[in-house]
Amino acid sequence: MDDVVIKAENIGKYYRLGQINTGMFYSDARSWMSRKLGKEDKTLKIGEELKDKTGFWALDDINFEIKQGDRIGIIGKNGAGKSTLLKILSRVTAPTKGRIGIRGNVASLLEVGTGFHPEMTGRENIYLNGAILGMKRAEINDKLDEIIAFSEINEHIDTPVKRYSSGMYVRLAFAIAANLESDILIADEVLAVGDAEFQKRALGKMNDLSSKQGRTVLFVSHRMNAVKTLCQNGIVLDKGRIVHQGNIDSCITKYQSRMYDKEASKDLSLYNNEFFDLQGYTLVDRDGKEVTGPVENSESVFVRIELDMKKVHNAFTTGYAIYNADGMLMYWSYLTDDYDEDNNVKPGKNVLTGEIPAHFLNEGEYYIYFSASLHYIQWLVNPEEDSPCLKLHIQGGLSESPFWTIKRPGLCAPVVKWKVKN
Amino acid sequence: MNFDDYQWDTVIEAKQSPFSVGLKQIVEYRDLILLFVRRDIATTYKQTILGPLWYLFQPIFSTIMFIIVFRHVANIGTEGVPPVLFYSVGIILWSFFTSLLTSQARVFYSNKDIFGKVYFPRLTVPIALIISELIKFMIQFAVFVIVYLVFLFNGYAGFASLKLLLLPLVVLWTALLSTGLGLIVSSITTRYRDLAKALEYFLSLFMYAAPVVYPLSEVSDGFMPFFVFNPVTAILECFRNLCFGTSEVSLFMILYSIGCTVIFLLAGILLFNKNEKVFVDVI
Repeated sequence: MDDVVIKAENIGKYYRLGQINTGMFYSDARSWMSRKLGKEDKTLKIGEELKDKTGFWALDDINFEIKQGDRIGIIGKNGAGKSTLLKILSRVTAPTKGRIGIRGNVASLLEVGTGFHPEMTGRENIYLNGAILGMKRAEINDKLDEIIAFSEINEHIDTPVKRYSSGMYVRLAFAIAANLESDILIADEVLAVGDAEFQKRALGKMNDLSSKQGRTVLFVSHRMNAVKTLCQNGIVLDKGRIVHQGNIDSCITKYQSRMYDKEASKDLSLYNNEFFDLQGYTLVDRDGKEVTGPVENSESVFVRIELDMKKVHNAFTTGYAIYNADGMLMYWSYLTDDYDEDNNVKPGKNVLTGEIPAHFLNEGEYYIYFSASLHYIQWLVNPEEDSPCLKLHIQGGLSESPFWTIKRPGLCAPVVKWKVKN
Repeated sequence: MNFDDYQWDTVIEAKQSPFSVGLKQIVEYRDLILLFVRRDIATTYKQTILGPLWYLFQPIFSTIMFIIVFRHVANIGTEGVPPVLFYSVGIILWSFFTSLLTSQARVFYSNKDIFGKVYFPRLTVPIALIISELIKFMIQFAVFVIVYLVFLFNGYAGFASLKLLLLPLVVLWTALLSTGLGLIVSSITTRYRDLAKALEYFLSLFMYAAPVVYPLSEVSDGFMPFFVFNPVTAILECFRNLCFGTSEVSLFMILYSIGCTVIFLLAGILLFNKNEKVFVDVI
């Protein structure tokens, strides 16, 4: 039995760089004229290339098949082409080349609350939003109570949505989309909204839709644990190309190590900016020697950051973000967590060391991304986007006890003080 | 198995036929069209003092103003039709034409949020706009009919014949011409945003260049070619002819205007379809 519901063949999407045109008819016309006449284009600045010729393939050579009931996680860094792919699949934008065949109807949850009209009541918006997403009036009538119950809006359902809190807004929007009758559900970061309680329920609902009702789900999220719980299979995108397809665990591992390989080969000077030059980013042990191989959990490890500060800003902070091999963020740490006027960066050379405590993480591989920012003002180096990465491998030394020598269940493996009174 | 061996419900391809309207899909999304209409009508006048009475406010006050200015100050004839009826018909039809045209011209810009996020047949939005403007028009026209009847009972030798049944056709004709022009403009405004502003200004000037506040018979021969060239002239004159039996619109003008309507509408749909695919990347 062949039950392919989505088949993509050689999909590509080309974007021109910069502005599509100058935005002014006069300049466009002049530019067009001079191109026709083979003259130099006067609307371009000196040294600037003709904009038409520069561009990039946001997606290229994308081929895949998705079977009925599959739950596919699409992972990749920002700019890898995930959203472009979902936009093409949900027909918001057309591919530049290639074709996709789809069986069944597609509902896309690209951004919750799209098309809500602030002046209309919750109930009116359920109908409008449902219809935009492709539901018939009768279907919405059937689902109305379920939607209202799931959103927990209840008595406020006849209030204009402009009076809703942002939480209510998002809950209502998700409830509508999640109760849609569709064969294929495309979801982009929908779970990144609402409070923790709601996120949990939303994830449960998504799980329900795919596993119990046998719907095909395509899911994009930065949260690897959400992808992991929801999806069986995955596609890893990097720079618009598929670099790996397979079961979700292999995808996440591939994604992590690929990111690491990419970062490790990069020159640190790429991250220099107006505030500092990054001159070193290494893992060292207690004696200051660089760590290369696996480390026992009974040893502290230190992240060593060497900065040449060119400009000091009082909101400046730096640190690291540590992820486990599943892509789950363990924690973030900042220099300024332990604030002390004297213990801070000064103009010129600075060597910072941040401890990763002993007897704290579990056995396994960890990825440590460098971060630097002007706190609440701007990112200088964003660990979630493009930043240098270190790999830490913890093996053994989990406790003093002879009973635990291998990896323990759980995310962390702290050794805590126990007291016994007899 | 190869791509072509499957039975696909949908095939997404780089190139699609530019004239495909997707009529089947539009029918499937008819509920959405009605909901768009409701949204347009219900939300325009929320939190206003007069509410939907604004629909009547505008033509009534414009009519009073025009009677004073054009009838009494400028002393322009109305072909024997009572000025109230003459001006109000012109205003109602003209404002139907222009407000539909301007809202179609903004169709991409004002819907960019939904267009960028969800797929649904895009032509549902222009269709919904036609319906909501038609409803507005009908409310205004109903008031005109009441005034018309009052005049009839007070001895105005009105002109009520079976020809009145053709009125809906003229209204449809207006809607299609306006939609065609509007869609053409809308496709250009995704690139050049100032065009929408320019359009509003030119339409307000253009009112004086079309026989809205005066009959075509008052136009001197020298200017006639210009009026014939304007496809709106035939519409206004036909409408008055059906209501009052006046006006000297020629068959040539009618055919010319219908021809323009067909060409503009096709060009409008073509450009709309072309733009709908790429505008998300442009706007």
